[in-house]
Amino acid sequence: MSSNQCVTLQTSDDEQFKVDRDVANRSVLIRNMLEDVGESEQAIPLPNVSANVLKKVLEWCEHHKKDPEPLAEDLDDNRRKTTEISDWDAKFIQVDQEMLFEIILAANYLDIKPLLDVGCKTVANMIKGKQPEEIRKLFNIVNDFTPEEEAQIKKENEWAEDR
Amino acid sequence: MAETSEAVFQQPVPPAAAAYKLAPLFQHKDPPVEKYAPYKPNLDWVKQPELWLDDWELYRADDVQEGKDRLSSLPAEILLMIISHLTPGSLVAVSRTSRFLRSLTCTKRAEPVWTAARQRRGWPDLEAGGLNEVESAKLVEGEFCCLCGEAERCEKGDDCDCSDSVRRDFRVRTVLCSDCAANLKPSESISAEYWYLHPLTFECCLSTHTNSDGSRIMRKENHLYFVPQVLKQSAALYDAEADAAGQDKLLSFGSEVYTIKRRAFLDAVKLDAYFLKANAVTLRCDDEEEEERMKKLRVEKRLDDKFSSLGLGPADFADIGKTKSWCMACIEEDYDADMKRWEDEQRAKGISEEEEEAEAWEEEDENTRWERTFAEMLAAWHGDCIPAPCHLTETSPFEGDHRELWFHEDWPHYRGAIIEYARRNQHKARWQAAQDARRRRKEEMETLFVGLRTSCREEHLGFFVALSTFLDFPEVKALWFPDNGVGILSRIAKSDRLATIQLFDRIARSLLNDGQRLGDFASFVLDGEPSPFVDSDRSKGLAPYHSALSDDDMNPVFDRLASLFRCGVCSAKLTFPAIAIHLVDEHGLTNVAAYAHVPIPSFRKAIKKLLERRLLPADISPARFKAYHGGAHFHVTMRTKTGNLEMSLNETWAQVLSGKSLAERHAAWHKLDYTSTDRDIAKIELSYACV
Repeated sequence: MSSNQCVTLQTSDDEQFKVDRDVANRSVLIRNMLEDVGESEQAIPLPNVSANVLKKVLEWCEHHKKDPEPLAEDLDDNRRKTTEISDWDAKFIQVDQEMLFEIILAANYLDIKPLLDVGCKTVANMIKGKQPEEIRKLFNIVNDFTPEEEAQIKKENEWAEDR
Repeated sequence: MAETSEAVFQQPVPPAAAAYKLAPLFQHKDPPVEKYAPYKPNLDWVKQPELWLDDWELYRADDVQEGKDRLSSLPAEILLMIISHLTPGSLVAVSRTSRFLRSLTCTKRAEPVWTAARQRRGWPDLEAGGLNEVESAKLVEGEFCCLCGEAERCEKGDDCDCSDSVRRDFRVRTVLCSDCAANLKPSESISAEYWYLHPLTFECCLSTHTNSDGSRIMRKENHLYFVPQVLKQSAALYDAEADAAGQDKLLSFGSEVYTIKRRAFLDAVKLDAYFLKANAVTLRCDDEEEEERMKKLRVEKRLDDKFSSLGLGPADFADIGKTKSWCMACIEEDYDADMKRWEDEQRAKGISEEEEEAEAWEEEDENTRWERTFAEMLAAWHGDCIPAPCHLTETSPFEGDHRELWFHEDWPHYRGAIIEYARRNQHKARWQAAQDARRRRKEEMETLFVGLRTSCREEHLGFFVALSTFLDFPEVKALWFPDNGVGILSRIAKSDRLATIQLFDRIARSLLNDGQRLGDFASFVLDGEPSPFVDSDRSKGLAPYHSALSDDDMNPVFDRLASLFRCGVCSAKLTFPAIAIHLVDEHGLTNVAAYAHVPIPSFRKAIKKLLERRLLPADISPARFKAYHGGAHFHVTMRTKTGNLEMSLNETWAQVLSGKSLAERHAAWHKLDYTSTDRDIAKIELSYACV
């Protein structure tokens, strides 16, 4: 199969997207499916991804279609600022929270590691510098600690002898 | 008399010949170069820029969402991945949000996550030891007081310069809120308060030389100690002495051994504090830089969204710092000073010019003259202006990217002007693109013109129009104006469809008469409507059923050997659309419907009989027939004008379908029988000799 062939993807809401194979290959899931199926005109079903999310994911794939595959040592890179996201990605991921989590889930399902990283880093950046109460408010997390547990947590924070 | 007769018979002097008036066609001059169509600014943006943008909106970094807890409901592997990107401080905060997140972050299994987070942020391993990863995280980035356990935030908000609301001191290893920071005291003060302290206590305690306001304490005796630690160390010293007494040793032996051990720890803590502080400074710079970058990106994204919602793109802001056309007069519409200056300049230009025009000016009334002068001044001096508030008369604030302007304190005042600037640029770019497209089309037309000129007879060349005239013919002009392209194409498509339906109606009816079957809908249309036009009147438009005919209905009918049309000029028989191409190419006729006729009944009958004899279906396509008998020859029986039958032997299929040959036509001319180019074919037979 030549690399510039088109691939049809079918979303959970039965919408079809025709994309270049280069773009679709950013997803390891789709790449493996294409290798297994071989040449086929049939649409690849993606039952866990809706059309509006796939549209965003494909936008990312299109922009990053020429990116080289990450090397093994890059994955273990202990750089100081791993939460740093490129300018384009940072603008791309500026979506509402619902869409952000949908993109993360889609990237996980489609096995697009760099996009998943961008999503996770964005959530981590949202948490950064916030107090527990602010984090709860941001993500609607219910504080289910009992007063005793709260007191215990505060106590754990106490100054210890060896400090 | 002679004179008289001379006078009588003198030839009258002909009046001076009037200049020969050329037809307007030959008087054509090159059309004037189209000037930039003036841009009309929208002053609403400039005068009320708040219409467009709410600044507070841009500051909102995170959208707080109503609804369910999306974070905790993520699959565990994704949640762990997010957690693995958190900083030590964020890990501490997350571990205090809910039971579930605490169970995920505060287990032995999660220890590598804390270690990785610390190392990622550049925090070194502590030489002095004594702290686990969680305690270490609380020390370096925790936001909770190590005495009261409460977090403290600066109440001054974003405007405050303080970077840390809790007081963090690596030399005494404490994180204290402002209230609890009172527990950092000089040794003298602690000694006065607690008289029972061991004399060596302060030698075993950590101390800091930094005040709460960050200033350095120069004198060593004023260094600050953490009271709980002092009390604990005093107790530890007494404890060591008690142990020594229990081992029958001097009390001082116990306290001195403890002090020596403790001194090594204090030195290690001091060294750690040095590296921790250095890292904290670096991180603060990095974090501030990153925060600034993210804020800028957020602003850029929101601005881009806003601008794109107005149909403006980055290209429209090109050269924003280089314009000199910001104009206060245009926003206030106050041109009095300019008018006065313009008139002065015009006057100073020279009296001779003025004299020439004086006559014309006298005829103008005052108002008309003023309006004309005003228009001239506007075109010359304000034709390219962008209305802007007064402080925009200088260009200096506009150097650089337009998005950087958002950070300028005067942004609310001049953002409207910037929108107008971009809109004008867009207008100019579009206008330029349209002009370029027209120019290209004009150049392409030149090839057509040269072709026409070449085909013109030499004696007519003198009358041939100039290229500029040719290009300005209404029909030609429509071609080089790309804006008309869609209209032209749709007109062509419409006329093509009209001709197709007419021809379909014509041939389909003849096929029905010959007993052939058509498609259901095609038969229904022909039964329901006697003509392709309403009331058989072309001017009333297509009849409704006919207008519903699609290519799928018509193509199967056209694609039959029996659906041959006769060319009205040369009587060649061709199917549609070959007949249309033939008429245009061979005879230069575009009105296909007028020249494509149904062949005479005898010819249609001859075709039908031929197919029957060859046992071929009546609706065989020309391509299939050609595949069977393309190379064959035929005997053609024709009826002459006198009614006799003549046979032409061994004609190819192309000859069978042709009209009269030139020789036949020439002979017919002699017999005054030149009215038709068609042959009255009565029978077509396959020539077996040539099969």
